[in-house]
Amino acid sequence: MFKRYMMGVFLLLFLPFTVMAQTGVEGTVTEADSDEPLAGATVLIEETMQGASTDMDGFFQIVEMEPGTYTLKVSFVGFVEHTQQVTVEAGEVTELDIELSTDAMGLDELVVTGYSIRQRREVTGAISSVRSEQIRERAIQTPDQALQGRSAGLQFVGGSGQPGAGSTIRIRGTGSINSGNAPLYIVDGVPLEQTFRSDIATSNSNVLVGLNPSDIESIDVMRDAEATAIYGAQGANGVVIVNTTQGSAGQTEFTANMKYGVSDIHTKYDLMSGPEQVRFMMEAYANRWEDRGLSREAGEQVAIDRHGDPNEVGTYDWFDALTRTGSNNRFSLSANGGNESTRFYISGNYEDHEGTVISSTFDRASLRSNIDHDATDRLSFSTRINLSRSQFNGQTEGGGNFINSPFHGGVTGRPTTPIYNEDGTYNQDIPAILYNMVQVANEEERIGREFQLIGNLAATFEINENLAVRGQYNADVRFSRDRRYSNPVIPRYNNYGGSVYERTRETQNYSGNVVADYIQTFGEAHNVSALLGGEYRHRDYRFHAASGEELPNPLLGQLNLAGVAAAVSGRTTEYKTAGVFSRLQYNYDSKYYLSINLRYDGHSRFGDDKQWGLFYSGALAWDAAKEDFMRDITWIDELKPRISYGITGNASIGDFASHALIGSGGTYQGETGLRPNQLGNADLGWETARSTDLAVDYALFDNRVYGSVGVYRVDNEDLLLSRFLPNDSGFSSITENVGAVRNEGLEIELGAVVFARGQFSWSSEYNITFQRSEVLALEGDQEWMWDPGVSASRIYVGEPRHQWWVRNYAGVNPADGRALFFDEDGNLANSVGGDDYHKAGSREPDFYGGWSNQFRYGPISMDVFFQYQFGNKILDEQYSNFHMAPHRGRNLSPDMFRRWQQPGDITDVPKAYSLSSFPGGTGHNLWSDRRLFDGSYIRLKSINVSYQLPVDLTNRMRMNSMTIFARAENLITWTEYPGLDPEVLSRQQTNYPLPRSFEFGAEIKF
Amino acid sequence: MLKYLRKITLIVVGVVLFAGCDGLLDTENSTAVDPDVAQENIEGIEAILTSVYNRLQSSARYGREITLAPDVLADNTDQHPITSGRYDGQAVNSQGSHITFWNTAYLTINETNYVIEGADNTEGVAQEVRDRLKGEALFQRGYAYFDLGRTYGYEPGREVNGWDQAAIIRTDPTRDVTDADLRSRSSNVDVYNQAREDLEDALTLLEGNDRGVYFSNYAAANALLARLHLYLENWDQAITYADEAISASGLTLLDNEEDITSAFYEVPNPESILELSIDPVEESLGSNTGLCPYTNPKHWFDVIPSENLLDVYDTEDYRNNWFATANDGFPYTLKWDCSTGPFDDNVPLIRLPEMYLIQAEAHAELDQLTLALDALEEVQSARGLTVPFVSTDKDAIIDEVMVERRRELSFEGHRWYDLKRRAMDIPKQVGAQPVPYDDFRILSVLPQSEVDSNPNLDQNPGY
Repeated sequence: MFKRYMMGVFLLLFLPFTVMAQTGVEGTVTEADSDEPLAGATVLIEETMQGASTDMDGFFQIVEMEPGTYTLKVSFVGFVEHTQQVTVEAGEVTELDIELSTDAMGLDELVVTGYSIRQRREVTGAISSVRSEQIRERAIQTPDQALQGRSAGLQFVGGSGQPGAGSTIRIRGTGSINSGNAPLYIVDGVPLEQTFRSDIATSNSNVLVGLNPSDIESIDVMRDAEATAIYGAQGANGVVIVNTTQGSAGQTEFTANMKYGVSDIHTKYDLMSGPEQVRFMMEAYANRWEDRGLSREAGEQVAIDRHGDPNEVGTYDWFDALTRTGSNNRFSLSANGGNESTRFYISGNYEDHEGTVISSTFDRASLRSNIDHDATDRLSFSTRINLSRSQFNGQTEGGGNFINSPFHGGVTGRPTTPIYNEDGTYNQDIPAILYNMVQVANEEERIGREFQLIGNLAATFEINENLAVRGQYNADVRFSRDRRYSNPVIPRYNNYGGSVYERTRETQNYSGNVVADYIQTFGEAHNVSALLGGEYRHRDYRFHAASGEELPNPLLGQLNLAGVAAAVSGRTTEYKTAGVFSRLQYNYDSKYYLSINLRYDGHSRFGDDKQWGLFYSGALAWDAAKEDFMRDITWIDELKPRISYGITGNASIGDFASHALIGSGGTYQGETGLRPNQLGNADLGWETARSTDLAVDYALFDNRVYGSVGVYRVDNEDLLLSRFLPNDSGFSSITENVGAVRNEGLEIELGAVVFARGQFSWSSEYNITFQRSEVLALEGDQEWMWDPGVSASRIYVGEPRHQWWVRNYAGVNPADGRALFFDEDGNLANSVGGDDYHKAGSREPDFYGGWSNQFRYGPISMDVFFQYQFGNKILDEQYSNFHMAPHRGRNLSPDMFRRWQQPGDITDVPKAYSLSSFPGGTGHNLWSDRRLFDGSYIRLKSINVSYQLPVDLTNRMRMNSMTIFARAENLITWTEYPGLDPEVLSRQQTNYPLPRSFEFGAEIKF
Repeated sequence: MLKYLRKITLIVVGVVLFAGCDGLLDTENSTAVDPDVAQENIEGIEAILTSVYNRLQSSARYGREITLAPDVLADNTDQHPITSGRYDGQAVNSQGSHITFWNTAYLTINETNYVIEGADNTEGVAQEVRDRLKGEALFQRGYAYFDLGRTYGYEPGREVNGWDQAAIIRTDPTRDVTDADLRSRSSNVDVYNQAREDLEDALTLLEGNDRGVYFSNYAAANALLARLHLYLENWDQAITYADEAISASGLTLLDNEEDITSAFYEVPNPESILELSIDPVEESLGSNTGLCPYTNPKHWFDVIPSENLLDVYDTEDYRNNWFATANDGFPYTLKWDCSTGPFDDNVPLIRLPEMYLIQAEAHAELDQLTLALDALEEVQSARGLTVPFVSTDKDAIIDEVMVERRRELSFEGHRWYDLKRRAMDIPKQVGAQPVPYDDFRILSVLPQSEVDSNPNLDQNPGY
């Protein structure tokens, strides 16, 4: 990063002061546009921390000052901070009139670009920025959650309500089929490794879990090739750049932030009562018994024997027993300060969360130290270090229809099954599910603990005012411990005396780069900048795991006490990358822009013949507002059409994907086997993304209206696809670079200061992205393939990237109550096979976006943020569990009362039947479009209300400022989706729904 | 200015050179072996053979599918009224629910091809070791082709509408992409021939050179050939091979109640000619997919003995002790009672009594009725039946042998194949429709993805 170099300019502002004679300053603060006085603005003398708030007439006065030159800062929420030098003479009160202008997008604002920093005005790529307050003012645990709905072209799906869990982020669609689609995350210049996960505590591990959102200064989302080509083979999926707060010179300011919150799952499944469920089962048995040539009464009696008498059974609410009101506490403290030569930002954070499902928790402690030091005029050093420890206590969720998950076994159990015995012990007679899920949730340990260091050390040497060389060394090191203890007090686990599983994983990801940056202006208006660098990265991953069974005492769930050593496993793997890169930028008078990026990149994952590749981009832009003929149109501040084209790569594949492998082949009779499990391919190379971007950036009415409108096309080519090999060869596939997928979209970002007068202002930012995708080619003349990432899905040439591929449910035969399907030819059939499935929509949304609003009235501010997604289909197995054939005796939805009962009934629910399929028919539980639902929703994602106490008051309390706030997340959702939470990537299985949460707290600066 | 540019250029050129040098991007894989190393060393070949046995444990082969599904598809089992869905489809012969193991069988076959070729090519290895490796692999290849032949095709001479396609034959290892060509299925005659030849070769190589009951062995090769010839209705050869299997195994039938009751808890089963060992720690199939989880009240308990199976046992039959009644009143088999671990049992693949029953059936078919009755009585009297079955009617004797096979071999994967090889309609438990022999569901279904992607591969009719 090159931030220090550019920021040096700003450090000139913080000049030292000299001691002179007597008294103070006074004046008025007004709003620039209207000249109306601003009440409640904060005026602060930087050096002495003396301060005042303006009164109703905008007047302020600070006296009892020592004579001297001071830095005076005037700030007011919603307005650009005003800083000026003021000289106070002995015995005089200096008069000042200060105008504040509303906080609109600044073209001089700094934007992080690859390996350097530029002013927004000079940016020719598609980059969206999320500002620190949009991250800090949210009731979130990890900073990635702040990205949702903030940037055009970024689709965000929160994966889990488990506190601290990760999310899925897709930038400009899903372009790859077999390789990763996640963007590259770079924190303070450190490229993070993401291919590890704790599937013990949560199946949604989070790459940014160790970062405290309060430490984040900005997050920049890079979307087009112009912005990402400099990352070469890692840039194809977009790049998310996170920068943390940098220290600033001046008196040390401490910030303490405390909050407390609660959360709940506010939606609930509608389920049958105990007696209703038993009566339904009686009917199901009677129907089957009748088919078997036996009497209905005998069938009903079997149901009563097994389920109890409908007149006597009770109703037990398992979901209620498994959920609770969650809570969270958080405390963070930071110090920011330093002098001209050394500046620091240090912070500590501790938070702990109790999730809305019993026993699920998350806690994190983190420490950060950001230090910048200027050794000489030319040489400076900086370091960014984040140390964190995070711990999850989780539940089985996601990734499968696991019966031992609270979201499956817990809710699909019979309502007639008591949770506790009369003496208060856990009921163990749990038919169908076989687990008492409340006991499992309480007694089984599923712990994921992670220690992480993200840090760097950098040195910058300014050769002269135009040229600087910077070297940076990065470390991203994680140690993770996972533990699962299947406590033998749980009868299912007692079969084998309980078991304990422990896994230790170690990821070491080191990288280093050297970058030379050159900036020069030739003549009057020829502005040139050039950047040249090299980078090397090595990732080493290893784990070992062991499990044991037969634990002698449930209280001692330790590996060394296990009677039987059940299994030991371990693995190491690594990859290496190297690259050289360059960026050349030229503009003429900030009017005509040209930019070229190049990167030559090598990666160990690829075949010997394709290990190195060249990636590049070019961009042109023209700021029409700067032209003479536009000079008269004063309301246009920027009107910049830009176009870019480039090639980036995707290397997110297995570390040894190109090699022929003979791997582990199981064991037999004490011997360990080997088996050929992959054929080699020396030609295996990069997936490339060819992207074209056409956009207009605009800023109007003194920057009060701003944003950009653009279209993009990304052709992901040379996709790594498994070419079919006949299974009878002993291999099912070989990976080759053959496929192509196109993603296109329209991205609109619009920001505006809608209203600003006096104390009241309303600013708003809106974005929407329309997207579509098309598969251009698969292997050879292959027309379709199974979607490797999503079950019940196919990928068709000429169709969107993802298609649900399910049975075509036709309803119920009015004559006999059996489920009917459409076969391939559109005829009704009881039984359908492989060719009779049909395309039933996609999991990809048609459009999505967000809308944020900031309202300010004096010291009170309110942020209201909506986020939405439309047009995707969700395969909901969890909801469908309640609509299945009642063969398993599980709980059911009252919708099942619509079942067919007698010839002539027209309904969509088949006859109750105690088998999953009717004899000779296709199981109607299986994947059909009966399980697909529209996933569109609009969500009032967050509200934040804060109030800054008057400065005179806080000064008296020896504070610089104090803000109190109240926040809510996931407050209201508008959707037709019948499940608990529509924020699902594709398939609702045993997902932990996102909670509704509230928190309140205070931030004090002193 | 220029001198700095020169320095920078030098640095960057240095980086480029550094990046260009060999070995910069070399990485090592700790979990895989170089294919050349694995195939040139006898340790590698041995290890691939170990994988072959490991595949046999798969729930897609004898870990469950071929051991249990053939009984569910016919009349030996019923579904518990409360099921988790396991084998619900097979119980009512719904379309596509069958005995399916195509992919697993071919993974096995490819690995046996590596071993068969590798056993000849490695250097510095005693001939005896080569022979054993090759013999064991040939046995396993023959076994796989036999399973494929009897599941995906008709027995020769029993074709319906002349459909004689059975399975793809591969006898060379797939070493690179060009070996993985798209093939069509060979005829049932060719597949049975391939199986027969492999087993005959194995038999020669393993004679006096085998590792006993847990591995491909000489007696088992004879036993499997006896079974194969029974399917092909080569009655004389079936009798001869069964004789040799009995004598080579050195086993005798258990004939007292206590031994018979506990036979499936013994490791190995005292009557096993070939047994699949499953280590409950290293090789457990877990709580969801194995035999015991499917059939035992401790677990899912979906597949239960049918009433008409329990009806074929006389009260004095010791084999009644192979069944028990669960707390909920439903019967279950004790053959798969999680006898070796929380989820697992060893699986006897070929047991001695089958050899006597093969002889009984073959003798009867050859009108050697006395010999047939003698062989039948060997089994029946050992199992506690005090009144010998007597008949002078060939068909009646054969019928009794078929019943005896149910009594002895239920839950071991014979019932469906026994009915099919004799071209009989498949009777079902009460409440499900019988499957006539000319119904397309007599043959299993090939993986549709294979058929879709290989233009030379035909799906079985009706699917």
